[in-house]
Amino acid sequence: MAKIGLIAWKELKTYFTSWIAYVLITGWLFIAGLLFLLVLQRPQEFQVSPIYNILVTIMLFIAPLVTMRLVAEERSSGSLEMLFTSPLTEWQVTLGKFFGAWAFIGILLLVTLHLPFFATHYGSIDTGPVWGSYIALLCVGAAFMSFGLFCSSLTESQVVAGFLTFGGLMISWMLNWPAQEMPTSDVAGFIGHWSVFSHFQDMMRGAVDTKDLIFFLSFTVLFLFATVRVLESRKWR
Amino acid sequence: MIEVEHLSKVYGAALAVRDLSFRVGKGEILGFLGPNGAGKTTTMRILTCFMAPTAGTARIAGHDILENSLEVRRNIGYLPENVPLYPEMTVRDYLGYVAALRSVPQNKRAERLEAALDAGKLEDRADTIIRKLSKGYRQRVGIAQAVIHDPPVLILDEPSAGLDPRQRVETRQFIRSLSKDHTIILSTHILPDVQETCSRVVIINKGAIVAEDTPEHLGATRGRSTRLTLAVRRPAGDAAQKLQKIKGVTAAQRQDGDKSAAGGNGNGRDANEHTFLLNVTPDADVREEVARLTVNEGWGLLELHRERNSLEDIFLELTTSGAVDTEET
Ligand SMILES: Nc1ncnc2c1ncn2[C@@H]1O[C@H](COP(=O)(O)OP(=O)(O)O)[C@@H](O)[C@H]1O
Ligand SMILES: [Mg+2]
Repeated sequence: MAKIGLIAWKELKTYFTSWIAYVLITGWLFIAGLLFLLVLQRPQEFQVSPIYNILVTIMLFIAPLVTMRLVAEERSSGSLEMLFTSPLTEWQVTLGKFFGAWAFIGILLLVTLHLPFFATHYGSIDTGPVWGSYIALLCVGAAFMSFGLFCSSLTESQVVAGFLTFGGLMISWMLNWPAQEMPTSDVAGFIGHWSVFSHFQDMMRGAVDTKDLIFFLSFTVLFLFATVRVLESRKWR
Repeated sequence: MIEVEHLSKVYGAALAVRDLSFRVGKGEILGFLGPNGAGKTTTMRILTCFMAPTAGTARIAGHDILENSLEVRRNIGYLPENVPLYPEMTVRDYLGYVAALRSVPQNKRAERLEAALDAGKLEDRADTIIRKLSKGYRQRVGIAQAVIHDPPVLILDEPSAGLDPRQRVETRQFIRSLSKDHTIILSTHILPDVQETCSRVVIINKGAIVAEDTPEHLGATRGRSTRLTLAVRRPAGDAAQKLQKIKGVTAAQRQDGDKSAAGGNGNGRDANEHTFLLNVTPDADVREEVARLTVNEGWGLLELHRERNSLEDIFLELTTSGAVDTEET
């Protein structure tokens, strides 16, 4: 446990040794602020879920940048050899890196937390959807980080890892398009079920369903497990 | 301390290590010598549990590398061939991180950190960002991270790579100083490393052991040359024939046929000096006989010496393709 925390803390600190972290945070905060401003133009129909919906899309672009270096960089620099010749299990390394990246997402969410409460100055606001949206963003963040970590473990190249992550998440998004266009179609609904993007809409309206939570948990654990397997496979190659 | 048994590793279809077996006792420094691609790094990665062998196994400090890899890893310090560094960290942060990963207890970390900085002679660079360090310093950070948890077994893959000659000497001294209470395997293709630090040497080529011995003994047995050089002032015309008649001499050749290509290792010889190369049977010592003949004939003896093969020659002989004989002790 302590080792997981140690690795997570190191990963989180590493983000702040390069400008990428600051650019991401600034850009994210700017977009989130702008969205709130736009929505506040019409306070009578104030709704937070459209804002957070767009932020999920922004996160789709941020995820590859946050996760691409996690394993790929260590693979190419050779420091993976230091990690795995230390008394650490593959699970410790995987979870450490996952929590480090997820904590960065946590920071992104934290810096926008004041916005909905700022909005209450202009009229009453329903807090249910706000908290639901933050739970949704945390879930989506976990899923994205887990998938990105998996992609990063596959290759030595951060660029390849980034594109794999982005491509994979795009496909997941597109799986949900038919369901959005044809809400009545069973086939489209079935395909949409496999998409990350079909499982947070209810949460953002304030209805946190265990089925959706279980989906995100399974998705995240699945790709963490796959990452562990990829890391283990170095032994047999 | 280290027992390697029938270790083999196949990458895809390529055999990298073939049936390697050797032992290293406590306090020994084993030199792992071989040309590039011989399989040194592969073997070390297997011993450090980074990779699994295709066949065979090894025990380190009594723990099997396959069955008890965490225990093995607690007992080793490893310097990989590509020094594993996080360029964005300072030397001190990096070593602190490694110490924590290797379970150095909190109350000993500061002490071990200082010891590791000292081991790498890094005191003056402790707060430098690793990205800004030169190759030699990075290598030393690599050595420092290998010893930070004070492991009983050290596995060093080309510890002197990238160092300048003075740093190399210092590194050798440091490694020797560790040998009191550590067991060390170091790989190298730099021969003085072996001669000056190792108590035993294993030479591998194409993944297999071609020789295993102490550096001195290897030099003595393998190095017994079959060649003598004789320099005289006034050789008679039939000197070569007469030399050849000595029992044990298989061939005698005059070297100074044409002056322009005074050749061989006869640099510095003047025109009044004539050299002969004698091939002798390995077990015969004919020096006395050759000297007596030369004096009796009045050729004017200047020099007579038996060429001793250096470790370098032995290394080349053993690792040049074709010469794969597997003489082992
Ligand atoms: N990851 C790898 N995949 C495939 N072949 C490899 C790999 N690593 C090393 N080899 C091959 O295995 C052989 C031994 O390599 P190595 O152990 O690095 O030798 P050395 O360290 O003695 O130079 C070489 O022929 C090399 O090309
Ligand atoms: Mg090597």
